[in-house]
Amino acid sequence: MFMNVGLGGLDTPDMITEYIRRGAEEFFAGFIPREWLEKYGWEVCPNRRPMGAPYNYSQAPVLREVVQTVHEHGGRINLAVNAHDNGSERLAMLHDQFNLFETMEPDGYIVADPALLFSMKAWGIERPIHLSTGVGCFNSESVRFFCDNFPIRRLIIPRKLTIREMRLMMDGLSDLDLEYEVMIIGYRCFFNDEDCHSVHSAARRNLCGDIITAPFKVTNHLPKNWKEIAERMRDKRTAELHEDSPLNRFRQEWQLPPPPPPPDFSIPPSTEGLDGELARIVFQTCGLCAIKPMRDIGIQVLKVPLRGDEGIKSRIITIVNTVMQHPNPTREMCMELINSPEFCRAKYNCYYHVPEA
Amino acid sequence: MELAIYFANYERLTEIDQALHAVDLTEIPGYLSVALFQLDPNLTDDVGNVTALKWMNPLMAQQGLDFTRLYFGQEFCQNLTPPPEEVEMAYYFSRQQGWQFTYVTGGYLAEPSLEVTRRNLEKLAELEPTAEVVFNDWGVFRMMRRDFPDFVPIMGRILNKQTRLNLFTETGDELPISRDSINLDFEELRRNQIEAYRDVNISNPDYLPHLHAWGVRGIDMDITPQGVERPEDGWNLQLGFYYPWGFIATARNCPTAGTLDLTRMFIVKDKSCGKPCRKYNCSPNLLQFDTPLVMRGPTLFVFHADYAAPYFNGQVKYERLIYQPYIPL
Repeated sequence: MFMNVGLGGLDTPDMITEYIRRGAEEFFAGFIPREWLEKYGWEVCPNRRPMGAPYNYSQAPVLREVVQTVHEHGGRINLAVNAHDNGSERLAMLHDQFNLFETMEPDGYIVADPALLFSMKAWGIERPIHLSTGVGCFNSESVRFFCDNFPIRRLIIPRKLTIREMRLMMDGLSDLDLEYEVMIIGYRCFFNDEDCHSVHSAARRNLCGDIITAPFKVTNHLPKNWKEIAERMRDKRTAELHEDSPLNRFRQEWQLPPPPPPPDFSIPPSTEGLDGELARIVFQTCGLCAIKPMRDIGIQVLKVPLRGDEGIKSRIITIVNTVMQHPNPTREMCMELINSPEFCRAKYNCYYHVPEA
Repeated sequence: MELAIYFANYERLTEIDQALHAVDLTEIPGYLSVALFQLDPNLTDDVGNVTALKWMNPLMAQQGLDFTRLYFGQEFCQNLTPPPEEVEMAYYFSRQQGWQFTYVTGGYLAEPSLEVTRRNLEKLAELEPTAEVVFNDWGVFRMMRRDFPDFVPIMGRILNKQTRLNLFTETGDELPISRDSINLDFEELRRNQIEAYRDVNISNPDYLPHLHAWGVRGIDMDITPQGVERPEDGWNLQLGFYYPWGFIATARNCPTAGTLDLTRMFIVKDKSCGKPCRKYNCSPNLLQFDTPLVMRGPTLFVFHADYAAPYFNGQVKYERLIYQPYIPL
């Protein structure tokens, strides 16, 4: 098992060397050249990180130096061109980008758009492909669909599969020579990545932020005769204000039994270890306890995304590496590394459901 | 143009008369309207039902349209995939009406759900070997081509990755554009972005011939504020649009399921879901958006507002309107 770490525009060669020293073996990065930015801005992004400069490299010499640094230290680096949908007008610029990338000799490409995969084939690009989570391969048949058509080396397993479902899918692919990668900490989208047709932008809070900060409301479905009641309200307004009116009986039927309260996913304050909300800000969601069961089913690669989060990257790489290298990491050991009992007690902060944890 | 009507389960289908019954809510005084709808995002589905009928009924009258096809099946939640017997009943319902039948399969199915879908396709093949099937998962498509080659495949809206532009909804609004390191004039940048979002990967000349070679007959899309750039030849694919509900994003974790088991709000579990969505709904109140947004089960939907007008007045060329009386969950 090894670790694959996301790089952003602020990760320098020296920092990358430090990540390798701490246990990172492989990296991935995105690139948006100046001419693309000057036409489309950040929001129309070739790699799903359209939030501004910290998330992508935008100067070819810098990216070239990054690739060289990784290779000089015995690591590997893949370039992410994993937008879900690339319209035909963007193909010329994307072709130019691939021509540039090929001169840098990356180890592979991370791609999500089947149309772009066909273009890459037409352009003669033969470097290995990593199927992005954005492809949405949730079953063995869908993986085979892509393997039928393209040189797939690795499947990046979507975040919203259970460990059992991963195993079932991998069992169905045992005749293929594939690597399997999972996200392990941070960046667990509220919606499925592959199923989110929203747009990220650094200019406002994104849709996922809107969802988790909004007040939720739980309501019983309207009784089936609601249109009949609505028509009575139109035709017999005053009569509906009495205790024995159809409207009043309708409301009583509708409200009972009362629905449960909306989910409360706040973390109680505590003086024990790191404050739970602070831990959630730092780690977002954590899959450390899932590393052993994932290793047991044959997952080889742990992805630490964190493009744009260079400030906490070193610490998280160290934590993940500690668990990854341990022959039998326990939940207690993982909790000690996170050092926030309240964060870990709230199971909705987990990346994956680990029944034994 | 063909008019289809879409139901996600048989219970809803049996309520079709009620679903198509128009009520003018503007004639109900405000104080009573609040008694019924109490400004609750969860009831946007019901308000949307009667609002959409106000658009649909004139369209049908003016163009002499009537429903000629039933869409049936579950796109968004694997736990709600109808059983084979419901597929059979829905199929016979459509035949009784003299309608064509389209079976809608789900998106991004885990291995066990793929088998459930296979059983439904086997049932459908017994009923009509050349039926139309909407596929929303490449694995389902591969299975169809291998095991059910006579079905007519339509690429569903989940596999069609058009940007739904939900952050701004109306193209007239100011877009949330980051100007970090960019010198281009705001208006030009905005125009370029909208044009880019109109341009979808179906237009990729390296991709489209494969869709044709694979026998894909059509593609279903959501209506979006920016619209879609379709070439003169229409890609030689039949184009369908869903109305009035477009989906913005969906998940396998679910806030409504989270009311019974909090972890399900964020995490997928193997244990079967208690399906509380059959009784009530849990939606966030997203008042910052001009256009009504509602979460039904694990999926965020938008009710298409004025930007849907070009799809009703003949400005946009397409072949099929798929009417959803209720959110299909």
